[in-house]
Amino acid sequence: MTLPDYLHVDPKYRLQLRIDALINWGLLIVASLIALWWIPAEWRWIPGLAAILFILILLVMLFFWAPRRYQLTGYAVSELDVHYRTGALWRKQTAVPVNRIQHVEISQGPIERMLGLSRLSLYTAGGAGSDLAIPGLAKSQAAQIRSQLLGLINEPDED
Amino acid sequence: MQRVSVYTLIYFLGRSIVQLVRQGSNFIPLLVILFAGGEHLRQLALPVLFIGIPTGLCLHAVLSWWFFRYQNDNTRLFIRSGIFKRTQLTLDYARIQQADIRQPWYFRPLGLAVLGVDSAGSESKEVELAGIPFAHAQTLKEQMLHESRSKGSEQQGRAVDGSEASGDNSPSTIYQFTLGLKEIARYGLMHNPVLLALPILLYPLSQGDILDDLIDQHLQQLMQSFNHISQDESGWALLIALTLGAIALLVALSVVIAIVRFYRFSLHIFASTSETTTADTAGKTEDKNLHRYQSRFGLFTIASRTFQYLRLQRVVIQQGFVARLISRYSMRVNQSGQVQRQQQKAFFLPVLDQSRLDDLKIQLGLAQTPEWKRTHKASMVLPFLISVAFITAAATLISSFDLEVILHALWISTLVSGLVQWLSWRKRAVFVNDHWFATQQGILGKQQRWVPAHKIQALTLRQGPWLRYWGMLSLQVYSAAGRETISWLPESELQRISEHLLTNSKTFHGRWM
Repeated sequence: MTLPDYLHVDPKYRLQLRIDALINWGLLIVASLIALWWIPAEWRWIPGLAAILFILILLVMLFFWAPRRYQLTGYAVSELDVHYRTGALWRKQTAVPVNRIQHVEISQGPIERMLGLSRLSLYTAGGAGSDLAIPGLAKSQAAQIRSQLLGLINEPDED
Repeated sequence: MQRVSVYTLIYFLGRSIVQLVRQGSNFIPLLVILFAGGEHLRQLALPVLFIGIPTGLCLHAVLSWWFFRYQNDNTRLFIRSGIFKRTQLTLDYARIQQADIRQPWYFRPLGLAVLGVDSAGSESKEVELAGIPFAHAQTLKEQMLHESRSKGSEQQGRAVDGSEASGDNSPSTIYQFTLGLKEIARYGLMHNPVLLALPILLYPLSQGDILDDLIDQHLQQLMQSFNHISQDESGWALLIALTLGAIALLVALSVVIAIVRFYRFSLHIFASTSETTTADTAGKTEDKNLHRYQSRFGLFTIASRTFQYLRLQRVVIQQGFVARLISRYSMRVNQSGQVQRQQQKAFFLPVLDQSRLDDLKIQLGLAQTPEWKRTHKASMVLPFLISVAFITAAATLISSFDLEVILHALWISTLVSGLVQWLSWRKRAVFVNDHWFATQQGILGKQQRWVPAHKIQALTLRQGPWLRYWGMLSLQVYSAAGRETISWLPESELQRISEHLLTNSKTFHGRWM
């Protein structure tokens, strides 16, 4: 695919990734600490080691993975297609032709709502795997892309 | 709104039984209460089983039939159904992508049929209109497909050449064949459902004493007689004969199933010439999109299946190991819809020899001599290493670290896994031209999957660290019939293919389903 001019998603997406990582890995750290308190002394090294490992992973996620992921997450919308790329180690580029979009949806989870971000999902007839979701968009930006795409989908063919 | 024939009660009863079986797991807690609830409750079990359930089923069937009404005009089919949850369905003929007529054995003496209708789009519906006269079903089916074709050609005409097209109504057969009994028997050899079903059938038997009681006694007798004669070579001859007999029985059963299912399988391809008027040409042209494929088959239940070329989303050509030995192929044509439904609803051609396959490739517009491009040899490395490591590790654990066993496991797994990976790599390939994206895979057999390039829904390029190390990419192509994946091609090559497919799809404004 010729690489389109990708636009960055909203910088607050970096914070969203950090909060997500904090919740996911933080829960595991808390679980390990609880286990450390409850299990017999001779087995305590296991949750202790796990807690240290989870803390290290969390630090990597917060200070290396989240900025890198934000850096590599981008989208491009043209009259004929929509592109999205993501992933630091496992990279992924998805392209959907505009004339194959069945419907467009904007969604917001609680953290996204707190940060004023939205996720734009484009659905095609290709099943779940072929749907494209662009996270970390400012609410107004997501709404603007949605209207642009709806306008293009409903436009009569020129041919 | 009219009701269907009263004989359709048989159909509704069958459907109620199927529903009960499907939802049977929901009644398991009830069984627990029944058996744990003491003698009084247990005494209720038999009346419930032999009176309550059959009465309930009959009542459900009668009410389902009573509340089922339909009406049709030239453009739509209205269906009202449901006992408690009433549903009203309006189905535009233009959205119908498949209409099939079935004549189950219980409807055949009465001249009745079941019309199955499948509509397109993300909100897909599947409807069955049972118990209508066969002639009426045929008229309805023709009406539906004609309307659907007209809309298709109208839109196709506008989009492709800016012309006004109207589907003409004189379909002519351009290709046909009927499979003889020998050919259908070959399908029984190629595809053995008995072998697949055997473990499933044996599992419940193995859970009870039925198998032990029935077989153990005979087996012991057999073993005794075998011991008597095992002193000489006739014992081995008996064992071989028994094994061959069992295989022959399985094959014979499979052939019988194939004959019952596909008896007198016939394929007809109809072409509708369309009156096409453009600025500088006027006359009759033949549009492949208007071609209609119709098959008819079955010994007891005669099924008829149709699809229009316009709706084609994927063609799968399959040749398993046995099929390769007897030089035959199977072909499946998928239309859009949920993946689970596709296996049942696909347009299936069970047995094709080389010449029929070539003819159908021409009819479907597939490339006759595709230039397949193989993937990179490094694609074999990781699966090879993983399987060798897995088998060796398993042998190490099972043998409790016996060095001799580990060494044997290592060389055997290296040999077998190396051979399997090499055979698999030899078959794995991709082909792209202006009209099609195709992939090929297999080990002893072969499967080709062809997707129309202009109907692609989405494309995803993936690259993990291992692929990046080799400068390779993986491409996932999504069509309305599912996902195709091709990995281990050079970055530049796969990006070029991806760009080509995307351009093909995004610049195509005609009707694609």
